[in-house]
Amino acid sequence: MKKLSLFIFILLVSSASAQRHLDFQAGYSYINPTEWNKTISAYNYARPWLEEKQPELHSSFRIGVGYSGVIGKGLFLSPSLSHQIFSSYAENGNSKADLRFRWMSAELALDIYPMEFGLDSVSFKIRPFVRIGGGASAILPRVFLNDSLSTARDEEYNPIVWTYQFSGGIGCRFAISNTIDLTPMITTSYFPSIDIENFRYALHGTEQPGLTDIDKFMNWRFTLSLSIRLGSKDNLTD
Amino acid sequence: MDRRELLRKLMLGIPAGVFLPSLLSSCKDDLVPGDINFSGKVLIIGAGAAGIYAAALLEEYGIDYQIVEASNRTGGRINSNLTFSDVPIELGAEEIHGQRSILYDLANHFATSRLGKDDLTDYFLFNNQLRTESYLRESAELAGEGETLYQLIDSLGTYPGTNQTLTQYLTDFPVDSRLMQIANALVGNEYGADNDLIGMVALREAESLYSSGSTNFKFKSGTYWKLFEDAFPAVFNKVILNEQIISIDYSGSTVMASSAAGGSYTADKVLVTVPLSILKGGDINFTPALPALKISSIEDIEMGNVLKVILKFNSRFWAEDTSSIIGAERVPEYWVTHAGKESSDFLLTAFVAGTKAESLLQLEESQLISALINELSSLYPIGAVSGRFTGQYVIKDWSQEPFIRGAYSYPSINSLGKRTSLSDPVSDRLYFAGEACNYNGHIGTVHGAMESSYITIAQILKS
Repeated sequence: MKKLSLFIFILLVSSASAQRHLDFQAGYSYINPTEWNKTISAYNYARPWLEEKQPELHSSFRIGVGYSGVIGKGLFLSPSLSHQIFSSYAENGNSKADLRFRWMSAELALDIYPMEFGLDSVSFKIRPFVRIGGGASAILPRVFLNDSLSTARDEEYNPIVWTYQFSGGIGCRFAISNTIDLTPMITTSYFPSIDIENFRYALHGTEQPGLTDIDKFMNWRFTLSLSIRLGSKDNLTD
Repeated sequence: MDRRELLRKLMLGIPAGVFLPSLLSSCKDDLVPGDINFSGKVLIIGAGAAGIYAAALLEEYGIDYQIVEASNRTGGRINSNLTFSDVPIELGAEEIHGQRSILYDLANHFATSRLGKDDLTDYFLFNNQLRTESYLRESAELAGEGETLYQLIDSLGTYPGTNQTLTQYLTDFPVDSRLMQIANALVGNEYGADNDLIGMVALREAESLYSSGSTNFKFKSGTYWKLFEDAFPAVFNKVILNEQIISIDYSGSTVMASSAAGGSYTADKVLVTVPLSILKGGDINFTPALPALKISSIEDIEMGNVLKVILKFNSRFWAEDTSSIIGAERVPEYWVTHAGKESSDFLLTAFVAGTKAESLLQLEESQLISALINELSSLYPIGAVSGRFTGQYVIKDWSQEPFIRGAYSYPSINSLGKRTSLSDPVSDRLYFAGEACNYNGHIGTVHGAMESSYITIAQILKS
């Protein structure tokens, strides 16, 4: 509760300043979960009759919404929420396999604007920044076989997996007007341990040497944000 | 540092710092084929489910192989009688156990319209009455003993005690003695043995690992083996029948196998998929001799016999929704053979394993049939059974199959952990697969045999 109060306090403080943004994000997201993809490889290998092999999990479209408020000279605090679905689909005659890993993340990041250290106000039109932070994610891995939710050990496979991540990245705000920024960003989150327990049973059906449901990987994202400056009265310069 | 320089450093430094670690983390050694190292020839001994499926995997990867089969047919312990009824009668493997397995996926792909779910009712013999499972669980007559038995069976995968037979465990627990026949039918007989032969720690291992699900499926039409014939037609062209391999010499860089008929085969690797009983019987002479651990595994894993007797009646005397009649003294399980099949016949299969099968096989054939009809007669109203029996039957005693000599392996008292060593390759040239080699809890099943094959083929491909 104390942490939540502190978080709200910081947001209020930052809201009081002139520098606040509301970011609407969309972009491409990439993961390489080697252990989970190994289960997909095993599934493919054990089923030589599949002409269309099950693709590995890699890509997703990602959307999000964020807020960014100044907390110091050149320092912004940026909470955000995002959503992405990594999927893999293959259809082979009567057999359909559809993997959908829904992913919802909440992150809190510190944005550092190196150009703006020591300045009371921001007046640049181009503002690069570095982001560091972290957060928590809820992952809903689902395996649909022939349009039905798969089972693992006789139970429907529908877990909600909670995990955490550390994030970092770089971005640059381009002011296209006094109230609108366009912000491309490259960020990555490191997920040190995600256990989607029983995934190997839900897809592959069995245990096999070398397979595990626990994975760790980076999540690379290229995001373009449309940012609305809230209450800005700055005169921007090059 | 000016602004341009800062931007340049950010653009170069940060991506390099975060991309590099992920580029470096790639290779891991396991049994999922990635880069295929092997390009030689594989000789597969046995054309049952394990052998045919192993060949299909090799075919997929373009590896040269040959299959030799001792008998005059493919299929091994999958075999059908095509003449007794208007639908094929499975004399060996009959069901697909569970919905999450490569076998179910195979059937779903190639035989969707033939697949039927076994969702009828099991009736249990208790106090000379046929009762449902819910009666056993809830009846005041049993005062909770039935529920206790089911809970006990459900928790076998977490058995905390020392090694003993299942019968000893149930007796000491204690399970109501009136339920012991049912317990034997539900566990021991299912494993192709009986509760006196099942070892608790090996059973715990099998039950805790089993992951395929509890719903069973049957083929409504056509034969079980047709599934494999439809799925892997190319493989069957490479089967040589009537070639009983009697010796394997793996002392050199290649493997030499010789048959009883004088045939000789050379390959880089040999995959042995013969039933455990053939290894136990020493039908194949290995040179050099198998390692001691392999031999002790072969000795300690037991393989039971199963007797199947299919009886034909001219009309039904059992309840229409009957799947199985469970818990009789002589025959632990009778099931309605044609249930879910497109048939106009009325058939019951008596499924007897272990010592009960041996006991029945002591009888003359006519006595055996009489014993079954008499037992069924005791379960139903007077005259209901004998008046309907046509006198037609099929007996399948798997111990009499010369190249199989039994049904399937079971969790015997000394078999804990032995399946892993049974499946281990020897000298990187001699490989083993089959249901007895399955260490994932799927022993005694067709999909278990297939699983052991793909793990072994992965080992070969990576060798």
